[in-house]
Amino acid sequence: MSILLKLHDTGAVGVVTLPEGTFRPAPPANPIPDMAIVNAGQGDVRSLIRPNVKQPESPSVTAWEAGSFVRLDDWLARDVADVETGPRALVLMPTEDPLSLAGHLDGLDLIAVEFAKFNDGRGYSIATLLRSRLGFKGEIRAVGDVLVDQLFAMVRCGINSFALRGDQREEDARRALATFPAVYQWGADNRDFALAAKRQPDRAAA
Amino acid sequence: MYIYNDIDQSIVDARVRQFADQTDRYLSGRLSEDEYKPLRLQNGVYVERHSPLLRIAIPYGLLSSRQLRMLAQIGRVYDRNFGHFTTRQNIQFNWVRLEDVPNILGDLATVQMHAIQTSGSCIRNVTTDHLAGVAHDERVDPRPLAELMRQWSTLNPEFAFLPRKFKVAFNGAVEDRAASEVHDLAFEVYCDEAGEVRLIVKVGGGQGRTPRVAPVIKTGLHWRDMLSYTEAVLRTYNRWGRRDNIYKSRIKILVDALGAERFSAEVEQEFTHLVGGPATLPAGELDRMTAFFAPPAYVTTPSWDQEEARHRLADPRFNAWVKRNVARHKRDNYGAVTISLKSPGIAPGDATSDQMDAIADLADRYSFGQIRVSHHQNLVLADVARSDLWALYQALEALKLGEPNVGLATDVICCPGGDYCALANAKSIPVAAAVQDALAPKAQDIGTLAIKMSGCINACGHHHVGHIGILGVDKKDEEWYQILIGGRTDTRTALGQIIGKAIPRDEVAPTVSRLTDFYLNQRQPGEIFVDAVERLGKAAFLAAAFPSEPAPASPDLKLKENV
Repeated sequence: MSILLKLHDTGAVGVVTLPEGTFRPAPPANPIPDMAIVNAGQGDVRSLIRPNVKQPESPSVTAWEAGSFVRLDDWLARDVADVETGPRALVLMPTEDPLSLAGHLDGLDLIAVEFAKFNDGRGYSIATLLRSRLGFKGEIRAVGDVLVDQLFAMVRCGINSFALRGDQREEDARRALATFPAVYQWGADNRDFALAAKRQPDRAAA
Repeated sequence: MYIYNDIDQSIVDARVRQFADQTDRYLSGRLSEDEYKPLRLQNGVYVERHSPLLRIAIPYGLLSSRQLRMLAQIGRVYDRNFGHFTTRQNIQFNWVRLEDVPNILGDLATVQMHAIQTSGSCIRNVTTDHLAGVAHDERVDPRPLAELMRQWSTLNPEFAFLPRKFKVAFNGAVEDRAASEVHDLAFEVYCDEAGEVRLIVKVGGGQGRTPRVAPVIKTGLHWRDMLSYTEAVLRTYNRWGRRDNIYKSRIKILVDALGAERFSAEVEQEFTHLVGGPATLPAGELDRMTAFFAPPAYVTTPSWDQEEARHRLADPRFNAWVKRNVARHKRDNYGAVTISLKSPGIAPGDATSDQMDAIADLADRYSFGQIRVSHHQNLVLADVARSDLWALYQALEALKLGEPNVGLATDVICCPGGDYCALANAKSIPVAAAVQDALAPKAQDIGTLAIKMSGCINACGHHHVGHIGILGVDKKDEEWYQILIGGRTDTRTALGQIIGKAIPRDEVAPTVSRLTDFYLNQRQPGEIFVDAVERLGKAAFLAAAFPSEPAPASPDLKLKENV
């Protein structure tokens, strides 16, 4: 099964289980690292460097709980006279411009932000812009390579649901949401942050 | 210096727990090698040629004696009794075991230190002038702003997975001792006529494969808008920087592709949405932060100490040390002392645990308990009363740390190179040693000469901005070295130019020696090497470097392709 974690405005975390394969499945199991080898270094790695990085082509998801995802171009090109009813959801790829949705958010219940690869950080800026610039109030869902170590940052960028990759554990994910007790900087989640704090906290000598 | 509050401490403590958990999941096979790698890099852990390496952040190069003692202890307990100070004002331990890293981080957290974002495709440790706050040519002390930038960039959620690494530097003085113009983002700090602190912003500098001097994209930025503007720069880069090729993913490539003007316009458009927003710094924030960097309790002693003069006349080595290693201080009766980590036979930037402990003691005794790391891989005691110079010098000599060579040819900047680094094309340390050996007898005569050596094109040893740069290259699996001349980062920044073909290792020191001999023959009074290069031209130095008997030519690349 696929696990969808939902962060509610109250801070409560809900879990929705969806049919296997709804989200990106688990990759093959990892070998246990041999520390004798790791601690002996990896020698000359120059020949292992592959400068070219494969770019994402299509979303990792096609459907959500209430139907199919719409792609950005189709959404922008839709016939506005066609008053379709029912919930609608859109999926944004890392290369797509969320600002093109300005004035086109009405009728959207959910925007999925594709994290094609866990180290492709464009989704964080996309979510931030959806929340803070466009004022999108609906659900923003991280899909694709959604690993527990990213969840804390995703929340801070205004993402409030998480399509966990198949191998990610729910308990790890819940723990990850509470990784840091405080944060320094403003984020699209509008959480209190230290750089704006007015109080003078306690200090110990270095 | 900045002192952690309970919030700072809680964040660093939480990061230790988070990294321990990530490492546990890796060790038990739940986190793959590929997925653990960026997480460990974001916490300064590399796996190098022969061992894992831990790079520890020293924000803008500032350390307390207590922190330095902890680094000494880490060297003793977890490494081989030494550490290596880097060209980004950090320290790295070359021989740690990966499973020990969570414990090391726990130890560091007890002295308000960490390894957060010392590597990885994120905002790296912020750097600045090692003489900040004491430099005689300073307009504004950049450290309060650097600390604000450190906090803002620490675990910044939006910019943890940028296209590539992102380095920020501050300069608040006439001479740019932070090499800021070869950083991804550089801030020039100044005071306007109304006394308001403002910034000139430069973006897209860097060394490596595509060396660039950062162009100015904004002037007159008020300090309160520093973080909003930085957010605009980073968001523009995060969204539009190339991710299809790691060699083309630094921000300088994006700035190149768009042109500085269009890039600046793009950032400005983003900034208009952010200015005055929640990232705006509160009005009292700069004063609050500046208080942490208030001048220490200086004493009033005579500025021209009779004893100092007497010892300088009697002891030529002390005289040389005062001339080279003691920088002019804002206060006449103080000096900023550089402790050279470039003694003969020692890899540049290395210090033993015993030396670190001893330097911490000297800092307590002579410099208000603080130490700075310079990007030249030396340590600095920034507030030494001139009346203490002789005593300090003698103590340093006893520790073999009294080398009077700051800024001289033997004060070589050098990356770890092929002895340690898994990416190196060639060894650096033995080349630096040979150059130091060859030039030591005439180093004082040559005077100011910045020699910078990198073992590969990534330029950790800053070869592009060396008056003489040395670059290790790989040709047919052999180590060769390319010589550059004319680079500099002082009151202006220039990139060095390659002279001649690559040469074998044995030829590097003699070639560099010939360059300096030519300079010694040609120089005008008061003219330093790099100025002579500019006056006489590259061709003259090329001819001097490779006289009648040309060095053995390196294999022709075209030939290689035809084989």
